[in-house]
Amino acid sequence: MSLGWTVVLVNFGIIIVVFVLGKLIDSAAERYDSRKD
Amino acid sequence: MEYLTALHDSALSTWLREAETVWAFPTVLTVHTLGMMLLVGCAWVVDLRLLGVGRTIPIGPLRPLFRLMWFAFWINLATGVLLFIADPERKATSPLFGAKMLLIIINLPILKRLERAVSGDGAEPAVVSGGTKQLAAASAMLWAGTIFAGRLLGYM
Amino acid sequence: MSSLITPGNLSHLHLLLNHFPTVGLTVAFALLVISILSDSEAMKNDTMRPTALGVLFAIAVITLPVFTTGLAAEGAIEKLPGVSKPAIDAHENSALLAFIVLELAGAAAWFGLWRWRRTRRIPPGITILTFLLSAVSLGLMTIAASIGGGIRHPEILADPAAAGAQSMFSFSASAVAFFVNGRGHQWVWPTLESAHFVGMTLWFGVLLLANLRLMGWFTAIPYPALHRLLPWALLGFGVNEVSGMMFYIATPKGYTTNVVFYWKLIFLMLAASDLLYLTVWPQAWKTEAGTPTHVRERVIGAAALASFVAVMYCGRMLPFLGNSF
Repeated sequence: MSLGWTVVLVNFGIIIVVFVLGKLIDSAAERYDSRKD
Repeated sequence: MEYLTALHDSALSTWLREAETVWAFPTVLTVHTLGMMLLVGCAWVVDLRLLGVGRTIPIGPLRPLFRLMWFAFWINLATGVLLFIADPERKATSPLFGAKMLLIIINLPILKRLERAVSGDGAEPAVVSGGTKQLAAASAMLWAGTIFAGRLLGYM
Repeated sequence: MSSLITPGNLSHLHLLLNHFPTVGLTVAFALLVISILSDSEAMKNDTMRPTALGVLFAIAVITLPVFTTGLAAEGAIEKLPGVSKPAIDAHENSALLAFIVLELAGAAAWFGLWRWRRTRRIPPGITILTFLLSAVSLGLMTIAASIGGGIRHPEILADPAAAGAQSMFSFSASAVAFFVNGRGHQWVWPTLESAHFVGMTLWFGVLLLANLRLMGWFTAIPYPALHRLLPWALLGFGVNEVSGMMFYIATPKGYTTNVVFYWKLIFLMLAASDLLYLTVWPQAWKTEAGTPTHVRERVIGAAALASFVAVMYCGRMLPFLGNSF
């Protein structure tokens, strides 16, 4: 069972990191895209 | 449970499990994986948009993605039943299997609510309510959990 | 098909492909440097620099099978007489570090192209980052190549102290293998598998919508709005490349002799090509809301979707087709 929770925990960590990175990149795009999207 | 044993001994279950052909268990599993890719892939996109990513994408026009998602869901229900039949005793008694089913059952009404939230023709500026955002985040996490439970099932 | 996977062919393929991260990378780097030194705005933002970034990205993509065929070649020749095992290990470890830096350079190059398509200019920060990463990568590749030459050259092996000397610029492949396979590390493989599924669904979802738009669906959505989601596809690819490489380095024998894995790599490179196309192709970018799409875009989109399914199929069927595990 603890193996399962390790899988879940580490993967939610990966998801959070990906989400934060993606949000940062998207916010930068919102700021710097002067062209009409 | 006798009916599970009977199911395990049935012709269909035996064929799925033991047939030397790639068209049995491997194909069912691959179609199930394809359905997952379609369902969760579209879900990520919708949920991300509802959470404020890619604000220039009009929300209403994303509605057809839900048709794709429901299509994928039915495919996975069908292939999921076959996967269960292939190994009924272990699946039925596995807490992981129960967890996976529970996560999906909780997510289905949320998916319906999100489908209703993604409405309109996109002409209005998209205003996503806080409640919808929470539902989108919850739905995404439930799909992630479903994937993990499914993956871990392969290790029992 | 699997009869093509012979030790000779795998080694030959590695020696053929390794020209890309060496000779090819030199050319890409030179193009980038020229674009930096040039005063011409056109060179910087219209022609030379975007081309340099595109070539750099392509080389980063093709270096994936360079690394995988390298491990396959190791399996093929390590038992032969006249082959230096220390040189193989030293080469693999320095190649791994060089590969990691090259993939980062490729990612930076992709970002430069993404920004370029959206604003007609490449941010100076990305240019500098790409320059540094590709310069370091080129240096590391040179070291790796030099060590690699010592694996089977009798004139180099004549001085055994020189051949097989481990460069300090390396990343231990056996450390990766130990992390995945070591005692008490049972959680790693299932964790990586789940991560691999997360990454796969993410890049598939984004690229599915982008390709469907270019095939004529979702016409109310302007393509540039979907273009903004492309970094998420790269992030998904990134998670899968890292987890995939860890699977591969930890248990190469399950993959190197399985023809299905090579097909997966081919379809994967097609998928990466689609990402590049979606990022920079002018006709795609100009697809506004309501704009009809052309036959060419529909064909490319359909081929791309087919390649995505093929990647998943090959990956999922690895244990069943071929001879993995």
